[in-house]
Amino acid sequence: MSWGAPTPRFDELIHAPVRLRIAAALATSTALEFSALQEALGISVSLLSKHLRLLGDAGYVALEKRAQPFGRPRTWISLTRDGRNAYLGHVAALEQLTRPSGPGGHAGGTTG
Amino acid sequence: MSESPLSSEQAEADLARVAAARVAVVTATRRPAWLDAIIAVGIGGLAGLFTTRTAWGMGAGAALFVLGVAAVLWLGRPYVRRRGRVVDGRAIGTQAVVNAITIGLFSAATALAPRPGEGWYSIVIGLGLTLVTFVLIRWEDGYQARRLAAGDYHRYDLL
Repeated sequence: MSWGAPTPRFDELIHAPVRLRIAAALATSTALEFSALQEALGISVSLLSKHLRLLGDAGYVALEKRAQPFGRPRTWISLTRDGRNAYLGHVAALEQLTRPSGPGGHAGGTTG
Repeated sequence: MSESPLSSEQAEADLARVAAARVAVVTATRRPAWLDAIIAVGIGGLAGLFTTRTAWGMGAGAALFVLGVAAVLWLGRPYVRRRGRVVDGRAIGTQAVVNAITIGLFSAATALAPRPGEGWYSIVIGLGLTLVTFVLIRWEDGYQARRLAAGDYHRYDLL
């Protein structure tokens, strides 16, 4: 576990636009409800499920179904430690590409 | 480090996607204002009724406050769609300032009791504290939302 800046590392799995957006959204939370993620990204349930399955197979996200006192159970999604490392490393790699002159100022996207 | 197949323009476009996704999800999962309004009415009502210095007034104020908290806990459950708050020094300081202002205003407002015939005092205190509390709660929630949307936090400060 490192407390410093993430190591820039291009990640092929997260690179796909939909999965990049999913990871970015999940990085703002410790857990997000499935429907909130779907609504925020404006994608279909099937598309979101497909990409979550891919991320889950890689060990990047964890899904948990929690029962409610009333109504249907809600599914919560979270980035695993590996998933967050991969996402932050990927964003750091993107930032490095946009600032090839060297380590510049602090960019918010790499921290969260 | 893995070799990146991207150009800087493509990387910029990806970073724009990241920023847009952050803003979208934080906006979609913000706590509704009406829930904050219920809490504000509970606190403002408690203060206003407390200043009457009567048993029924103080009892009604306490009941209003408890009902407000219970209503928010119960009605707000479906609206909790994102977990995790920024809890670094800045965020804790901001929360402490909001709490200190609310408690300070509450203490000051309830320290004085209106004389008979000055019922307007209780109304003004109740409405005023409701408004101020609502603004402070929304501001603190907006502060959290802005920092989350901007990625302005360290990963281990998100709890």
